[in-house]
Amino acid sequence: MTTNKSGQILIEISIGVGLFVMIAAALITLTLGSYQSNFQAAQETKASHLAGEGIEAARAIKNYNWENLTNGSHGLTYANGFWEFQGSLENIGPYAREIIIESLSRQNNFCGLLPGQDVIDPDIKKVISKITWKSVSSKPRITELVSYLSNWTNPVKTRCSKCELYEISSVVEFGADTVLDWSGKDVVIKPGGHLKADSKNNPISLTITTNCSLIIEDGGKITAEGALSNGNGGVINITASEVKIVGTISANGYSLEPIGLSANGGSINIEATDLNIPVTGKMRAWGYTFSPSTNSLGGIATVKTTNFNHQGEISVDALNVQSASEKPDAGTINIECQELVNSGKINANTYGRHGRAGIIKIKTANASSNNTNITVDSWGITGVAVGGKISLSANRLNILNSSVSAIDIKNNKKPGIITLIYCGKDFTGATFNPTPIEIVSCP
Amino acid sequence: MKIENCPDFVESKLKIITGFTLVELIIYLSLVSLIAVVSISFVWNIVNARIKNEANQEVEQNLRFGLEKITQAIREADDVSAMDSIFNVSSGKLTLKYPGKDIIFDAPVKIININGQDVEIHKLRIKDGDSDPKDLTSNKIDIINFKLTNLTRGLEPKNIKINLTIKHVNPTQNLRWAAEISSETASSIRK
Repeated sequence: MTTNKSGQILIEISIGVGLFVMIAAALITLTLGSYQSNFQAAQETKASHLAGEGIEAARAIKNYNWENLTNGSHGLTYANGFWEFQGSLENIGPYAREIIIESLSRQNNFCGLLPGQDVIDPDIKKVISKITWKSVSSKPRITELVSYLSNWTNPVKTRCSKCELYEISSVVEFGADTVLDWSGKDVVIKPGGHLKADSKNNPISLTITTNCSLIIEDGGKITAEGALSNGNGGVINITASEVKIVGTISANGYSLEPIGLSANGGSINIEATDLNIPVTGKMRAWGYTFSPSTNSLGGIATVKTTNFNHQGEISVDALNVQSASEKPDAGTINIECQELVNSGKINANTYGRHGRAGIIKIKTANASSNNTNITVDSWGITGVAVGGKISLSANRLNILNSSVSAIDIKNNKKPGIITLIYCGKDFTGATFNPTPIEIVSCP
Repeated sequence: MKIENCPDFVESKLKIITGFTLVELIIYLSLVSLIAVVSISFVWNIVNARIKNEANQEVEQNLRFGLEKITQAIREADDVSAMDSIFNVSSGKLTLKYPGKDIIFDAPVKIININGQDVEIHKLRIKDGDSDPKDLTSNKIDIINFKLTNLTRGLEPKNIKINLTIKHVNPTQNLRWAAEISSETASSIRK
């Protein structure tokens, strides 16, 4: 009995101490755990911000130049006042940041590709911003953010078609009206390449059709110009899926003294889903002569497209500096498209003594022009000289930092008319001369 | 030792009662003291840790909210007005252009009263158009670094780097309330 009582007390003490130790241990673990998780949460927050910064830096690098977004692992620096890739890793305190750029493949059933034969899309990249650091318990921790950046401003486009490449590197002459059916061909007119349909006896018509693309490289040409024996420009018709004019298309009328032939500009008609005219690209249908008593009317340029990116020159000007009687009236430009991004020149000016400027009509769903020059001015010195007509129509019409004019420059007596039809507009930094007629028309 | 004329069971009973009372008392007192000391220490530590956690959470939440608000506003802006912004200083100012209005972020000085004592702190705030500025950080938070860096290259959309360091207001320099956090991120205009 006595022995039993003593033993019970010892057991009770042991149990008591045991319980206390367990509770104490639990409390310590809880307290430390709470503190540790708090600390870890702060680290995760910082890592997440650094990862976000990495994605934004990659976006800034992409915005400056898509080509800088090269595949591989990169570190970042802003030592020069802007984001750049430097090295393959960047250390920020206890964190290491790595920007990983990867290409993406795209399945294209149109091309009849089998699984595993997907093509790399050159206009999209996967960007991973990866932050690694060591936690309180020295375990490696990783936070990753993933984003997809695209080259939407100037896409290269994955051309995956059954179109066969057809390059023209030399001069090909046409003596009569010609239709070139190049269906199934991606036609590239290389530097030195020239489709020449210049008039001999009569103006010549040249028609090119393809369901693929037509690219005129810098130094490449398509011409249907007037010649000494017949000064009137011819006709150039182009129908293609995609047209890119880095070189020149011209249907100029052309005559020199003393031949005295008429030198009216011809006509250029382009129909394409995508039309791109970069800075060096020219599309001209001038009337151009130095002969006395000679007609030199500007030609006609017509564009029908879905997407039109224009940075070059479209002009149907008229020039006759010698004729005392003829009126070198400028021609007409008609542009119809869905999306117009324009920073180039669009001109229907006249430079003759009695010249009447031409007409420009642009009708599009959305037009965004920046640093553009749209003019139908007359430089004529007689009372006949008169500015032309400009009609710009778009659901959303943005004309920024640009000049739009339709005036009689020398006399400043007979300005033309500028009509702007829109639902929404932004004309910041744009100058109009004369004051335009604005018509708000919403669908 | 045997007690004379005392029955065995009585003797053993007496011995047990006497010896156990003393030992029990000593053990009891020792254990109670030990448990009391450790318990109080634990409770105190837990209370301190809870306050510390609260302070840490306060600074972290304010930092996250502030940075999120600024980066979001930059993304949605038309432009950053470099003329009306202050870059590369610890108390910067960011002016964002929106259609028909400006949105401004800054961190000016504000006097707050804590337990009857005036304390000078910097508060992150937003001014949306003509409306009055609104605080983005609580009265418990002091902004000690709000640095903006314009990392725009050429004509590309503006890219702004933001460094933000904040601490818990702690006029008595109590270690329990000593919480500070700094972070950095960047944001680009999407238009």
